Amino acid sequence: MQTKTEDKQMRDYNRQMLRGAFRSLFWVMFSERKRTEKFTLQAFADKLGIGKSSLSRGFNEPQNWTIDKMADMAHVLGVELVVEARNVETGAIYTPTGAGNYAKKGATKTSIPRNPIISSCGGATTIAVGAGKDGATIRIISANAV
Amino acid sequence: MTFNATFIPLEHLEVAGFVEYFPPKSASGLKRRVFVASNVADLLDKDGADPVMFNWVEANRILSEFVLGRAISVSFCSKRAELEKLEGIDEVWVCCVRAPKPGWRLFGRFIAQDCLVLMLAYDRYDLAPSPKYQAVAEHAIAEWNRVLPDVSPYSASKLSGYISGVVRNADED
Repeated sequence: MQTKTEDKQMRDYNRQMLRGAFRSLFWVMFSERKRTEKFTLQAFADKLGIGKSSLSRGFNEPQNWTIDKMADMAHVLGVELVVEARNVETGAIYTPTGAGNYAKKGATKTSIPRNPIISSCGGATTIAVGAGKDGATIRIISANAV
Repeated sequence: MTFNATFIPLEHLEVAGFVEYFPPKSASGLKRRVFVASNVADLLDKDGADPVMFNWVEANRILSEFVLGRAISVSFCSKRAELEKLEGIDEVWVCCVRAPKPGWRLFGRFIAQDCLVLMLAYDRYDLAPSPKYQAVAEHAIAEWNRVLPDVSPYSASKLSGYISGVVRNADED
């Protein structure tokens, strides 16, 4: 059984990992724009209305970006953030408009990733992030080019 | 190329007492590897770390992101980053755990692409002033030569040679 200190440590760790997951996701998308369109960090910062050093700092070490800030970043990068949640035990998928697909019966716990994973497929970047006090949910945030 | 295709002298690491680092919550989906000496492993272990002296969360966060293949900031010229290659010192890298200030520094070397070996851990407070920092970095080389005498550190000409996949070069803005 976890002590209070251990529980707090794991919650802090989960928070930092979630921050890091967003940092990595946005860095992947920015890097792609930089590679294909010579989009610079200065141009990115200008479009966000913030200083380049502030944005640079956020990519050097994960920051606690607000949802509003991430929405702005997604807007500038031309992507839509898609929010889903998955029940770790059952595989059930939840979306803001209701429950969606359910995993087939017999799905095992080990078939569901417990740690953040970033993957790209067909122009969409997906990030799966473990979350929740009891580790019972996984949030999946996809960024689709729009 | 994934780490599976890279030759890593695992038997040397094992004999020298290094253990592989795995994130606190998972050992699957890993894209890079970290091996740590027992003193570093003790710090990274939840039961071994002193949360007042060592930021267990931040150290594990950095190493977790590295092994999971996520973006991690890297510098070759002393810019503020999570992982720094020291200038003028033969293939010595430092993992920078900066909070709470002054934080801790974990010294090591790459043994292959995407495979970092961490040997020494120091409270940053104990590394000031600068000459002492350099002395410890050179001690990392001596320590490598002591525990891995038949193994050369991995060397590459550019960042992507050391770390593949998603990486943030803090020297380029």
